Amino acid sequence: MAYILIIDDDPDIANASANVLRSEGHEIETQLVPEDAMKSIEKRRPDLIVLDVMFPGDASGGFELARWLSRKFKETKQSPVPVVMVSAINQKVPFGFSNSDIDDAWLPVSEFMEKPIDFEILKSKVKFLLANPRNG
Amino acid sequence: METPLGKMLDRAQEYVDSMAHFFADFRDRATDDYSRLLTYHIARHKKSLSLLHSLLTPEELSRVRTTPLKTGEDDFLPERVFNSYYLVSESKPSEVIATAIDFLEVLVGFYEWLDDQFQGMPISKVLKELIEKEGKEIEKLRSIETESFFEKQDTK
Repeated sequence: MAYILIIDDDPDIANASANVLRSEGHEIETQLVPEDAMKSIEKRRPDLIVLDVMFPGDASGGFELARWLSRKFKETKQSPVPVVMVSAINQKVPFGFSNSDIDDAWLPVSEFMEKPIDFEILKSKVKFLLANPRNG
Repeated sequence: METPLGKMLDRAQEYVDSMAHFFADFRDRATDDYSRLLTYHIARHKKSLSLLHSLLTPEELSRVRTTPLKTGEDDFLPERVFNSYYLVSESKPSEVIATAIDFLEVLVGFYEWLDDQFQGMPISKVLKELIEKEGKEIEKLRSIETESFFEKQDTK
């Protein structure tokens, strides 16, 4: 069982993801606001994070949070926490973000997934990353 | 002494890296969240020259890099371009897009200058692909600006 933090401002999506991953036996916490998520991470390090990109008033909030996490764990010489980024950003703006954009400096995440979330794929990615955290 | 094409390709890589640095600096100061979001898209250009590796084998690339330029070295100095631009913290998406387009047009001009020298050679095909790729990106940025994506929507 792992402790997974889901960060998404849409409570329906956060709860649906939480229910799916809880049914896999994991302990789940959901946060709707990046700042609250940061406080939560400071208190307890998750084993994996599921992270949205766009938040109200902060269109790149997920990208910023991913960079903050990367810096934080580097500074404290901790291994990185795997991050599965889930977003509808490509449906809103024709940027075409994908796994090929994962990058230490700009997009330090483990996986990039499009919304609507395919929960079977989410489950398999979470399972893989928890078993292979170095890929995170 | 003849200048090898590889030196010019390195300079193009330096240019796209500098572009990413330029927008990273702005990203960390930007007060408009859509302007900040745009930087994440634009910075992806630092990987644009990876196209060389997908279109050429390592042997072909190595050979291409040693090909001498037909004319003298171009006066293409990345820092010169970036020194004449500055985005203030409050810059709106339209200003970010206009700046990125200016930068990409300079890059396309450089590729066109190189391409003129290598007509009929394998590298010309690659340079044309780079020109086309950056040209499409310029069009995409123009359409994002024209369609005012950032004025229409709520963040979510």
